[in-house]
Amino acid sequence: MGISFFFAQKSAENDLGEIKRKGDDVMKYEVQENCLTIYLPGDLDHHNAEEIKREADRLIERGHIRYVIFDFKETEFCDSSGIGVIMGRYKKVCMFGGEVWAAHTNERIKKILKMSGATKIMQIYEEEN
Amino acid sequence: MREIVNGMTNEMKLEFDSRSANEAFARVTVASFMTQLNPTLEEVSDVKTAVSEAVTNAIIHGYENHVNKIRIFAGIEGRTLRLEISDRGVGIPDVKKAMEPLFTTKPEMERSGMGFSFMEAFMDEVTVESEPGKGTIVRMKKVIGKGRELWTTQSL
Repeated sequence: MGISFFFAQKSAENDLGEIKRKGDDVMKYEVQENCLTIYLPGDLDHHNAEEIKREADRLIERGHIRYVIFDFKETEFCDSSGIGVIMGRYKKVCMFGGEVWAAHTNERIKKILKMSGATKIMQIYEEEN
Repeated sequence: MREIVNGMTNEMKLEFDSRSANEAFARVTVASFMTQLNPTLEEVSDVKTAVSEAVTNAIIHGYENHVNKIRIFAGIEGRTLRLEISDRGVGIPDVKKAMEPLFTTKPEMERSGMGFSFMEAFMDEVTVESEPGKGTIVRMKKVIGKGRELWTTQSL
């Protein structure tokens, strides 16, 4: 399995952006090279967590993902089940030297991430205003 | 208007199936009930998180994903919101251990073990009563409007 196979796989994954609909929540996954962006739903709870875990792990394993970005732009609610999603994906990619990032976090989400200790393993991407 | 509301007591009961789709229903219903206390957005978020944690625990641990009934009692006494979230599931053999941060009986499900820690962080008081084979009751209290007390009295 050479490097060409690795890149062929990656370009195949590039077209794989998927849109999932669950009630009003839209979840989108985007793979670019070895980076997976998960556009999280409005509610990141146990109910939504199960599907995100399944879908993210499928993409991580098939796309040789090293970087996972959790985009909280649409997310208004997150509980400890959401923290479980982040911790679980971190365990998957950190074995290969990967990283986990959070983007578009509001004050509430930042508080939850800090309280849970998730900020110790993940970087928070701050936008310049 | 607020004086009348503040002196009031009010109660509600809710019973629903232990399906994960009802987690959002439960926390939004309690959030809606507590609006009569004129809470801040942060207080509403705190209560929603605590309710979500307790209901999720009942679904995953109490009933181990079998469908059964979860009950929520919510009461308002003055400015205090009192919640009781109960199941008639398997119960918790060691409540003290279950409430330790990061403790989980289901690491394979990637539970973060932060459920009770979140409840304790966001509510003023959390007590858990449980009996193996009988079920679990999580009781929580939160005084609403603590942050506003100072400037309200000063302005009068």
